[in-house]
Amino acid sequence: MNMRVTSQTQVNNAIANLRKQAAEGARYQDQIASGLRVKAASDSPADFVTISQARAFSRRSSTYSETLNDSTSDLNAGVSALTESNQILAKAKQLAAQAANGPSGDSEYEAFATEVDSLLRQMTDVANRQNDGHFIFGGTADNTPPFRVATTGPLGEPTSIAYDGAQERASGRIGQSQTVETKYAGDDVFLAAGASAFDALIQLRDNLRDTSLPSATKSRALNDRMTDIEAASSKISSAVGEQSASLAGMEAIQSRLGDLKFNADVRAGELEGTDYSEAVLKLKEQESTFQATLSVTAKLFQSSLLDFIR
Amino acid sequence: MNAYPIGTSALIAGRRGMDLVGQNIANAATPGYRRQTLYLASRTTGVDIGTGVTGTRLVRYTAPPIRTAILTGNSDEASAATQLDARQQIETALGQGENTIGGKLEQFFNGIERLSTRPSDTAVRREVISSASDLAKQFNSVSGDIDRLRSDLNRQATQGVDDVNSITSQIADLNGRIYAIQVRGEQANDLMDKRDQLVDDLSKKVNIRTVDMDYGVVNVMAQDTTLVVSETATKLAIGANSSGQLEVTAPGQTQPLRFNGGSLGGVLTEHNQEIPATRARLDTLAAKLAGSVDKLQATGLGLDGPISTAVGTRGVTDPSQPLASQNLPIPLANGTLTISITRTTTLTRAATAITIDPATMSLNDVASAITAGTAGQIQASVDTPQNVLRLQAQPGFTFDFAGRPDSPPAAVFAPPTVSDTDTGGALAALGVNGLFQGTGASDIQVRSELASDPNLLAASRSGRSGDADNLNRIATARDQAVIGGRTLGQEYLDIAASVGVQVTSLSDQQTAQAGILQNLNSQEQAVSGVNMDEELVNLLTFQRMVEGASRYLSVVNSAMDSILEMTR
Repeated sequence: MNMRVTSQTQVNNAIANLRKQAAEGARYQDQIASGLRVKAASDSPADFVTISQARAFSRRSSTYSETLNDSTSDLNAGVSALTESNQILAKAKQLAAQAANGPSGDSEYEAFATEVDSLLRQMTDVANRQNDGHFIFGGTADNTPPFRVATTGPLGEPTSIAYDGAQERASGRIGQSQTVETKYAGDDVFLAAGASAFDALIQLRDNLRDTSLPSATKSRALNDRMTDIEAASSKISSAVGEQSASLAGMEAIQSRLGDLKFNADVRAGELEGTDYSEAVLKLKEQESTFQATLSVTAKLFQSSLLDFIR
Repeated sequence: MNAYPIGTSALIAGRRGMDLVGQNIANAATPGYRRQTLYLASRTTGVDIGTGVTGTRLVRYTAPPIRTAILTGNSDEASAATQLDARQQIETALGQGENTIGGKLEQFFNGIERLSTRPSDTAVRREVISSASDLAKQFNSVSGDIDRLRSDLNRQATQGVDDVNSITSQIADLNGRIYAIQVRGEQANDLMDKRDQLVDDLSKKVNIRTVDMDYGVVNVMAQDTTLVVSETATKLAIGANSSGQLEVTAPGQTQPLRFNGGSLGGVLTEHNQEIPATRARLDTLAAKLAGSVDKLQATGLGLDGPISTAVGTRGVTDPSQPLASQNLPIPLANGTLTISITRTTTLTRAATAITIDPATMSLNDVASAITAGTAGQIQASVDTPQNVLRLQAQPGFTFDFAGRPDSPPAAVFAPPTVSDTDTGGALAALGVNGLFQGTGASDIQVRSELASDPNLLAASRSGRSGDADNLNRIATARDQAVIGGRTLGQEYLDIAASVGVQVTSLSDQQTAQAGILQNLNSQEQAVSGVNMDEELVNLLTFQRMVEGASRYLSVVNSAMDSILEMTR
């Protein structure tokens, strides 16, 4: 093996080694300063894909959290309004029972009728309730009031309520292939055939106000109205049940989403972030190797024959 | 009496030796310098009568096998380094984190999801359109940077060819001068050093091999052509061909030259193959995005319901030729387009199905078919010079592509009954009523009408303010595998990861090559490099030789004087 070493070889090797070590040192410095081990795909192509997907999943989960909040808000408003409706119906039923049981004069019946009119107005307001500026019982038609008084009687009292909303429920996206129905179609809840809250209230008021009915007939009619009110209330309760079930489901989804997002963030952070202890140790190692190389390089050129020639 | 010649020969040889040592020491750091030594031999005349010393020849220390390996190593390393540089610039252009096409893509689709719970909310609509615009701008900026890089490489290639021509003509010139000296029997060591250094420089530009000829002449060959033959250098030329590829040509060669190594080789590979490949993937991604989303936007309804005018944004070259021959970037298949026309006074609606077959129909034919099929209620025409489709509803009519059932006034809003109103994808291909305009990464943008009126964003197909059915369809498009079994987001990640892998691989190659070259250079230096201590020892030897010879001549002179004394 030819062991001849020339000054050019020594110089070239020294330069190459110093450059390599300086580059390594710079890499660790950058990792420590930026806190990121993987910034571009070339830092680690496989990790890069995993990190990018984890971060994308995390951001997507945040979006679903927001839509879940919106949907929860809509359904909460729905449940609250429907509960109020049932309370109105309960009041109406109480009035009907009172009127049916005790013998009363025309003026007393008239007083009951006036109260039912007021309940009818309240019911219309509740059915036209809004949440976040949008009507919650118009189905997908959420920008216009779903219910209106269609016809009125001689005293200006409502004689029929019409539904102007949509037949389809509005739904929002809460997951990759998940939606939830938030705004129900009001005519199915309040105006269903045989279980219509509005019709029951209108007929109750009409029966109460009708002075031509003999008392026995009136009693029977009022009892029938109570049955109608029960049917309407039952329809409303089943809507409450549906909405509550959706709410419970969404709570579970929200909580699971929080866990999944957290896991994704942790995963991305672990892969992407600098392992500080490792980076600092490696940097120290590089620094001492660099210094050793510098000092050896200096020593190499110190002694030569020139020092000894007279 | 041989004393004087003997002494003089020693002086001459010694001086010559010292000069050579001086030359070596002076050139110890000169790149490409090969050390030289003097071979001494004793001189005799007749049979064994010594007449001193003579320097027989000047030896130039070279290691040809190592040199050949170094030339190959140089071009491999230079090629890897050049390509690495270009790939790293592409990686920088792609961006990091959320400021990437992938990040903006996610933001856009997340916006669509967000809108689904409040579809008529103007502020959120504006956000969605703004994020679509950001996405388009990101495509534009990345492709712009890559195109600029390609122009830069064009300039580098031209400069590279100029450099090669300059070096080869210098090598040819030196070959001539070396030949002239060596053929006389003398040595042209310094010229050969200079010539070999130029060959070394040349090997970093293009991959070459050398052939040694007589009298120190070296011929240089590239892959497909000779570069230097004796005193003649081949002049290379570079130009772009009809598809924008750079070609290097030599006189007498019909095919363009191939270069597998060297910086010029690397630049040409990047310019002609690698960059166009990356750019094409970005264009395909943009076209697929536009194609999917535009179809869904076009077949939906904005907040204001049906429209009265629609002008396409994607034109054809010749509106009289069949669409299949027009190379539309977003493809068009044989299919049916269902147009629903609403009479505004009565709010009645009727649907018509128009067959669009790209194999037989031209754009003019499509326009005629629509006008005829809608009984003139929609006037369809072709706008020149962009050759785009224009649909104009007559007064009293509006139209849409949402596929709702025919209706008496009471069922104006209804969910669609036709699930795919554009089975051939004509609306997206022609850019009618879409979300985006443009067809590739450099020209994709949000359609100008949408940018100014967020109500046009089609959230539903029923026309209801709270219906997010169409947003649902767009959101689902995010998760569909549309490019080679990958979703749009996955395709972007694949592009970025591919570039990353290339960078890592080229970086490793370059490091390995540099290491090999370092080794080879050390080996060559071991043979032809100057070792200072060695030279100084030689200097001492020659110094002693001269001192000894001087003293000898001085003694011989005194001896002669004494002999001459005798004759007086």
